[in-house]
This record gives sequence, structure tokens and C-alpha cells, in this order.
Amino acid sequence: MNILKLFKGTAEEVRLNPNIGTFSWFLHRISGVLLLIYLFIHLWVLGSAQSGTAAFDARLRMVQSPLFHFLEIGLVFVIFYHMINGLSITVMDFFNLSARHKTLVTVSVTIFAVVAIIALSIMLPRALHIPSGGTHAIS
Amino acid sequence: MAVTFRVFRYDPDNGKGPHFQDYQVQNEKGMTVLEGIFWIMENADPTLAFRCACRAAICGSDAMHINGKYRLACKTQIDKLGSTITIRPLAHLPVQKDLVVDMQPFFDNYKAIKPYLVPKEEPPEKEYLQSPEERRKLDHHIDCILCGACYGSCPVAYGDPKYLGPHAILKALRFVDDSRDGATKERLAVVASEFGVFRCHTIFNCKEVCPKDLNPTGAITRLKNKVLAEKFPILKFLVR
Ligand code: SF4
Ligand code: FES
Repeated sequence: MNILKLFKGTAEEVRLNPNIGTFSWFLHRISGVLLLIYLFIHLWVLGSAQSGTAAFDARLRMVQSPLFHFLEIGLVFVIFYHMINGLSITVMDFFNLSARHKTLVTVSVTIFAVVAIIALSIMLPRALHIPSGGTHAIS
Repeated sequence: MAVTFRVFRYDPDNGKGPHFQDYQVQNEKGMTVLEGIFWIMENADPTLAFRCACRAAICGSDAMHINGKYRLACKTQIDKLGSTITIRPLAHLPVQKDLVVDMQPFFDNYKAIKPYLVPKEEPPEKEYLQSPEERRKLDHHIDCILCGACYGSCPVAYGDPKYLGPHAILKALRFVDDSRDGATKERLAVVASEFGVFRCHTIFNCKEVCPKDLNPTGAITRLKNKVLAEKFPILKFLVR
């Protein structure tokens, strides 16, 4: 099956079955692929440590740019989505909660919203270079 | 009130390829989508092909995609659907003509789980005895009419035609749960295979669309746990 056909077919599945389960499955796949891409970037940065301090510092500096700070926020969202959705499916499987999957979805979405807000409140000021009160006062 | 039926058409012999065709159908109170399709065939276009038999949601031959969901045309009233009704054949099965699909792959998967009772012991002289509790365990599965709505809605079936499908797995559990059946081991081996329960992505579309309100996803979940408990007896507590 060629990749274009796969994309088209998957989009068609989502279009023909507009259910909460289809959306969460679709996002789970996308977030899985994004995490894989992240893993390579992560290893690319860490791997430079083998070529000495200077190289490592250079790459670290590269990922300290505002762009990467914003991408980091996205990364945290992706990780939490993939993790919470995966856990909720695991819980559903092991405890035979299939009859109440919509409740489980509500619980997962709530947990996701809470962690997303916490993550944003910590990471957004940093990405926008707004020094957070505490550390600024000390330094 | 007139409604527009936008019907999927495909005839391998006329060279036009798959397309949609619009028909105006006069809706009357209580009229079903199937009756609308009949009206088209009788009054507007006798070349339209579709399947049906009982017209009472029990034979399972007229599952199709109607306005955003796989449903039985005979169990869906036009009134509930708005002024345009878009109808497609079941997905994941080859279209033979218009709304008629080749159900062979669907039934091949079904046969793989041995959809019949394999007696545990020598058949009794008269009938098998089963307590009301034992019988009640089957209530959750036996209403399946093999319409294929679940199979059409399952993205895993899209990805792999060899995937057993919700209908077959539901039927497997129906016999695993049956006190008279003796082929649990074989059936668990089939559903534990590469194309069985562990392929399921827990998407719940089958449960969402089933016209008989069954829960194939739940059946898959329970079978997963049964397979696990058979391999690792320490996990027996998972089986319910
Ligand atoms: S489980 Fe429901 S949707 Fe699937 S074939 Fe049986 S009746 Fe149809
Ligand atoms: S015609 Fe038999 S189920 Fe609809």
C-alpha cells in the first residue's frame, strides 16, 4: 500500500466515522509519529556530546531558541495526549470498562486539560522570555 | 416533503466509474430509507442495485453508510435525516454494483472462528441442559444479525482485510461463553493470532454503529483478558 493511498484512506475513515473513538485513534497515531520524530531530534542533540563539550554546547544553544521553546510546549502536549489516551485504553481493557468508554474519555480529557494548563503556565512565560517572579528576584 | 437521495453508483460494465447520483424522493411520515430506495428503483431508475430481504431489521442485508453513519436502511426513518440523504455501500468490501458489496471476505473471517457449537462431550439423549444463569451470559452476543455495519466502520479492517473483524470476534466470545461448548482452546488460539483481538485499536466504532446495540469492542476486551489469563494463570483475576 503506498503512503499517499494510506493517508487518503485514513482521512476517509475519519470522515465516514465521525465518532469520538475515531478522533482519539487518529490523534494517537499522529502523536505517536510526532514522538518518533522527536526521538530522533533528541538523540541528535544528545549524540553530539560524543564529539566534545563545544559541539554539545553548540547544539544545546541551537535548541534554546524561542522556536524550540514553542515546539517544546507542543511536545509536552503530544506526550500527555499519547500517554493519557494510552493509559485510558489500557485501563478500559484490563477492567472491562468498554460499556463506559465515554465516561473514560471525559475523565481523560479533563486530566489532559489540567496538565495542559499547568504546562502552559510554566512554559509559556519562558518561551516568551517573561522572567517568572521567583527566580528573577533571586538572580 | 421531497428529499434528495444522493446515492453511490458503480457499474463495472458501463465504464463510468464510481460516482454519486441524485434522486428526488417524496417523503411520507414513517417512511424508511429502504422504502425510499425502493421508490427510486420502481419509479426513477430500475438499474439501481441494493440488497434487502426482511425490511424489519432482522436479516442484516441492508447495512450501508447513511449520512455519517453505518446503519440499516430499513431501520432508519427519512424524517430523522434532513433534506439530503447520502448513501454509500459498506466499506472494506469490494463493491460489485452500486450498493451491493461482495460479503465473501466478511464471511471468510467469520468462518475462521468456527461459528457453530462444538459439543464438549457426547451429545445427551434429549436436549442440552443449561441453567438460566448460563443462558443469560449469551444475551450480550446472540442478537448479532451479521449485517456488517461494524466491519464497515472499523479502521483496522480498512488497514488489513485479514483482520477477523468485530463480528467474528463477537461470535467467538458467544461460543466461549457457552456452557455447552468445548472448543474454547481452539477459538482462543484463533482470536489470539496475528489477525485477532490484539489488532484492535479500541476505536469503538463497532459499538457506535451496531443496529442491535451490541458491544463488539467489549467482546474483544474480554477475549484479550481470557487469552492473557490462559497464557499467564496469575492474571486469572482479569477474567470476568
Ligand atoms: S455486531 Fe452488530 S453491527 Fe456487527 S454484524 Fe452483528 S449486528 Fe451488525
Ligand atoms: S432488510 Fe433485513 S435488516 Fe434491513
